[in-house]
Amino acid sequence: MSKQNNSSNELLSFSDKMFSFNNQLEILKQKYLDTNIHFVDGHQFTVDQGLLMDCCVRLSLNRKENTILLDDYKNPVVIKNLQSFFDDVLDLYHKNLNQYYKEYKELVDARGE
Amino acid sequence: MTKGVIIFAHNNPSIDYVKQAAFCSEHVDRHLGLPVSLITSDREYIHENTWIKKYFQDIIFIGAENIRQNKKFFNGRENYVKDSWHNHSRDLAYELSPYAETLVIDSDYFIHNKNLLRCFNSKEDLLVHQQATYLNAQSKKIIPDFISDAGVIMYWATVFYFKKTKRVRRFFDLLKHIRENWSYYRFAYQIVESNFRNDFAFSIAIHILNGWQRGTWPHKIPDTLFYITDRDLIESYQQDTWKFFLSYSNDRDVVFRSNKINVHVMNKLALSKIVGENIHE
Repeated sequence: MSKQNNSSNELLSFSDKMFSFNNQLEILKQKYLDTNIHFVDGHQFTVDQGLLMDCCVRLSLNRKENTILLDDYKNPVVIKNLQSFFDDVLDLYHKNLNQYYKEYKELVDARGE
Repeated sequence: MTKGVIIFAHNNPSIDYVKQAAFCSEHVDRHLGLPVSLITSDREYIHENTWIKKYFQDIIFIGAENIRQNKKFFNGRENYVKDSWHNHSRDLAYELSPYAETLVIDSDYFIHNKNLLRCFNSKEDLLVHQQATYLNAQSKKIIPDFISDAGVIMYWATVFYFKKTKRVRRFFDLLKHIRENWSYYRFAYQIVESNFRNDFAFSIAIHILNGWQRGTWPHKIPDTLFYITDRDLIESYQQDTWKFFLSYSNDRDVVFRSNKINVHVMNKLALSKIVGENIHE
């Protein structure tokens, strides 16, 4: 086989590897997003930076009791104890973020250069 | 409130759906810890294979379907068999489910995490997937978001959750009506495919119950519906990890290793081999 053919095969093989890597990464992102869901009184909340910031602002303004938040479907929900709600969602967020980082790193390490 | 899972399985000469359901049930037990009931028309098969009962809390027998439809079951890009496809009993879920809160899953849907337990925390009476994500996320979308070019939004009957309420009762009654009048609804909703599909019946029923428009009911299942098609291949399955070869051009495949995601494995012929290796007497 010529030198040029060898080089082409190597490039194609690398391209396939990168395709596979990018695909795994895309699904991993979606998997991580799926884990950040929290339910209160039957209402669904996706835990993201927006929700966390919303909680932080209200807590800093001392609005801790019977706070109204919007769930994922924009329905209003009374949160009796915002501090407790915030602790729960922050805990979930960190736990899932740590897991995401761990799996992300494994994937990147496995890819090599 | 009783909670549980039901799986429908009707064998055809090429695919042992009951055995597939046993494999599926084993995953439910391990990851969700919920009881599973099987709904099947294969009474004789169960009597000959009584060992399979250990995978289910209950087995509910129904009569065989009197409608016959065929489809091609692919195993990769080129290989396929043409065989019968029995999918006409899904609308019986409401009346046959022994549970107050029920999760219905296809026998080829495999659970590898606890995400679906969140359905039981919801106040909603029906949760259905509105979108599905192909595991080959880099490729073009294979299954569209609508049931036809000018049709309504697509809902998936692969996995759904329901409570027994009046509204859900109406939904299942409507599903039955759509199935019985499929040729009319297929025409009205401009569906090209001639076979009856539960996904289409779900989509039409939801459209009608929302006042013939796109509405806010039902909510989405709090998880992503990942899938592979029957043109993709299964390389291996070991300890909850699948290795797939996903087709992305005429002669190239991309490797994908699943890790703790729930996945709908549409290549039933390849799946049969994996099931045979993992489910024994």
